[in-house]
Amino acid sequence: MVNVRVFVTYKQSVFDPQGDTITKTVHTIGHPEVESVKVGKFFDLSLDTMPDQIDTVVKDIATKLLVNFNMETYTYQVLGD
Amino acid sequence: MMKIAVVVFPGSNCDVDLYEALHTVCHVDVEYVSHRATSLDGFDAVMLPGGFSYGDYMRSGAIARFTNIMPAVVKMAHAGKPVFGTCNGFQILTEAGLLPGALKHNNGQKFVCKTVPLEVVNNQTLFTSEYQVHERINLPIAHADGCYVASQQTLDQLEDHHQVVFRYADENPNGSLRNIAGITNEQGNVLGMMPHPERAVEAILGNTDGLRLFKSLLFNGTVKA
Amino acid sequence: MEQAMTPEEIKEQKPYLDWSLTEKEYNYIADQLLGRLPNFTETGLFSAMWSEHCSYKKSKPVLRLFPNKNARVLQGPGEGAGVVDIDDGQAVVFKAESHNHPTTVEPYQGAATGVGGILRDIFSMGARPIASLDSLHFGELDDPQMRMKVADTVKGIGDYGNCMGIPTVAGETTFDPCYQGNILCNAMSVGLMDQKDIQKGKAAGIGNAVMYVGAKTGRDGIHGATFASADFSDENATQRSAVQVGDPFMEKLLMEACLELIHNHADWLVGIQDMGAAGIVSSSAEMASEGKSGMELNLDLVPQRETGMSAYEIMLSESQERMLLCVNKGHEEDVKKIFDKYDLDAVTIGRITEGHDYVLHHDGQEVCHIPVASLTDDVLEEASEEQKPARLQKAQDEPAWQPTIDNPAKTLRQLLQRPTIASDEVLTQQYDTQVRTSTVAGPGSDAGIIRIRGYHKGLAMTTDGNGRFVYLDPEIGGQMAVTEAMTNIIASGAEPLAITDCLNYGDPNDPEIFWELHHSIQGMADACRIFDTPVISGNVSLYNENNGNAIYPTPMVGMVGLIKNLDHVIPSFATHAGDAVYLIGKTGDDYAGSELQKMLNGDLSGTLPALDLQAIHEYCQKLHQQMVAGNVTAAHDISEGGLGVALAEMLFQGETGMQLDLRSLTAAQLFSETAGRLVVTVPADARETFENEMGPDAQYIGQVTNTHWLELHLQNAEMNENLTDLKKLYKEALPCQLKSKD
Repeated sequence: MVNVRVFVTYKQSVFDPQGDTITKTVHTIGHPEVESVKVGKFFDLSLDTMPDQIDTVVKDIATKLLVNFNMETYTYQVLGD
Repeated sequence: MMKIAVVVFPGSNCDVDLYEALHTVCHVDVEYVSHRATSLDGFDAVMLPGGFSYGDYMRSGAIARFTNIMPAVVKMAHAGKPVFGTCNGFQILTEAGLLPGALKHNNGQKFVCKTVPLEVVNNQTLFTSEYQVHERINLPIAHADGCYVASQQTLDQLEDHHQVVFRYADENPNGSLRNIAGITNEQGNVLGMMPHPERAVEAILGNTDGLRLFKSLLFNGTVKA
Repeated sequence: MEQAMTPEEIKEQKPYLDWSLTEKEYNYIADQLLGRLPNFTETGLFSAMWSEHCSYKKSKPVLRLFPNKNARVLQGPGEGAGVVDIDDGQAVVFKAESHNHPTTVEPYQGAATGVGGILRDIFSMGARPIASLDSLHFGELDDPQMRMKVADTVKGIGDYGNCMGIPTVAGETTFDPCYQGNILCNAMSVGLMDQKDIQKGKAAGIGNAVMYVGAKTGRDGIHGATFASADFSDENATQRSAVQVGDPFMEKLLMEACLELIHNHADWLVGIQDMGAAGIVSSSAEMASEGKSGMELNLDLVPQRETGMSAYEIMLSESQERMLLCVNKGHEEDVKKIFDKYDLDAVTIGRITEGHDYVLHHDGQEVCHIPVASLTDDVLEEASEEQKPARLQKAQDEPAWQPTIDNPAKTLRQLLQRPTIASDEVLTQQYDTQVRTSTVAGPGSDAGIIRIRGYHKGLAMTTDGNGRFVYLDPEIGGQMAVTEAMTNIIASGAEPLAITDCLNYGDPNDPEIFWELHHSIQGMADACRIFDTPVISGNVSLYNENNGNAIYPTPMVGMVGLIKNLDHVIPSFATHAGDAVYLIGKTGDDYAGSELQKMLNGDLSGTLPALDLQAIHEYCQKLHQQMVAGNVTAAHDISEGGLGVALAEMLFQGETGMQLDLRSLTAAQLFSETAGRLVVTVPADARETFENEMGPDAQYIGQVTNTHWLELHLQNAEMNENLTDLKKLYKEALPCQLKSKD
């Protein structure tokens, strides 16, 4: 079993209203050093697959389901067993 | 005569509904108070309205809790004065620690707007004395984050201390544990509930089951004063 | 910053062709309007402002067919939204807008920003939005992608409207294969205002400030059209995106700030306009044109979310939640203070100048210097070719389709489960329908009804569009769309006031499609004249095609009516046993374009009979008088699925039933969709007056009973159906069909 964490975020040019609002609040609670907060989501997948297949499988799931490429992009990380 | 504050947070949108229910229907002295204000001196009770404070960004109620007005709300709660939150107001009260537990995304994963049957579990509160115990009433709900969750221990304590005031009857619209729709703090002066009593105070809109909640508060507030 | 191409390179390489400016238009601009070659920024501005979306250059000649005045109309088309007098110094403001393409590409954000845009149109007029409506047309639900798109579209509308605190009180949802590759998402907003607060999108007064308020500008929506047709897999790899993301929280603050400014400090303000399509350029040029002014803007002052944006990008960005104000000189700081309170940017980006030039500076350079009118008034109107679609001629030569119905109960059960007919509660429950505590009737009723606080009056509102009929006969279909909206408003107890529209069509360069546009507008205009419901606002959405297949021509009608006394609100549900039931209007063998035809044939065919609009108007007026007199207890308009479905729907709220003598109708006619009909119930003691006043336009057909059964005696069949069972089918159909089947 391999555990993979897929991170989905807005593309850089897409407006992230939630991140903007959180950034302002981070400033008001005393952290002006924070330049910006971006919001994304992650998905933990437990895969029963060969290591050389991970990329193909994740790519397929991300493309078909997890990511809307009109505005989002993704990266993933293999977490190990 | 009571004087009631309705707090307006950025993104509140049931503030007008609460105000009108109190002012136009119940003829109470009521004033809007901005989230920027720092004092609630001169008010006998405070109400936190429904809506989407700060867009519900991050977690419903989590950002509103840091606004200037909140220390004054906490002060009122600690002074034993009536504090009421409906919908987003309930979410803010839990985020601020004035009520136990939290409200998470509905089990159905969708915003739900409809009128649901409720059971009045405790009528021995400032807010419910005009209802009968175990009475069934119908109130509108309109929320996406209304699933009440708390630890087993907290839930047991809530029941032991009669802090559960309203329960969903028949169906549970959001997955709330033990069908909880509204709770008070242990002292009983802070009430938070997901349903909207302020939407059910006029016959022209088809429902007046919420009216007695405000009448209870006014009666008890006046007697006390 | 360097311009991307020199004027000469533009002339050579013709990049404007990709931006939908024709060579003829480019040459006209260079030779006739400017007397020189436009630079890169200017060419971009022209292609945006001369697009159909901003200029209506294709549709303008036919839009002139619409009536747009009567004694109550205070503002017709041309401003953010139309305005109608509703007495007591108050006015209702409304408009509908399509967001079809963005919703097809990204349903959630497309639908959300569609709602956001139409709301800004309303509050920029000085009105507070009090209700929203929608009109959604999807492909068939057997496609799993479509099921997801339905869910996302509805969530987008709900999340935006709910967060804004504006109830979504009415709408329609239909499903047809022609929308498979091109969803229609039309949103309508209704606002309330005091007539003294009416604002205009106008910039005037030399030295006055042009102020930008609201969200920052990013590269959102630039080249929306070319983006959508770009190869999808290439797009995956880039960090660029043209999808506009809505921020309803920001819009709520923007609305409150704008309304505070308008209501308390109107003297500071010259004009205000939403930055909608083509963002800063369209709002600023239109405001300058309206005020017959010159304008000079410094783009370096525009609040920007991204770095390195060109003048072209800043001017054409369609970032959401922004407004442009013209503010009297000396009040800039006062205005800024109001917006500061709401944590919103408010920046002076330019001034009104002498003359009539539109001048832009960016990065220390003058990047645009052209006459204002060249962007707004000098657009070449082009006569379009038109030709009657071949299918219409063919249909006339074929015999009419006649269904055979042996078991009307079975047919009724099937029809109640059709996605277009079945209860859409599973969708509308995701909308807050009650916020603002003024909703007297919400989804499920013929029209949404909002009471007006402080008075005993209300507004009724509905959206109606049926592309199937317009496809079969554009002119009669157009008449039917307005007629259905009118009967919905009448059924709720209101007097029809006026309409807004969204005109959704395919590529107008196809002569057959332009013919459809022309003739359906003609049909709508005829009905609007007879019903005295002028067209006060609206929008045109062309090029709704996918792989060369156009949608059905689908004009959506949004109508608003006035209820002068809330005691006269008529429910859509018959709940009083003992009341008499009447059928209003004549029933024919009208199956062409009906839900019955689609269900049994899978396809539409046939011709539509001419409508007697004058007769419909007269009996609807008489019916309204009977409602005001208190002689009507319930009313429901007859549409998809015909009388059979209408009767069942009337009995789904409550415990009553009906026992009806329908021996004047065949079993098939129970499902005929003849336009302009209603079912009403009348208390026993009012029957005589009602019959005397209505005459032969009302046919007595039976009684409301206290059993929950629908018992019908037809010419060639009988049926007696348990309404609890029918309601279960009606309620469970759509949730079931929306669920994944695999």
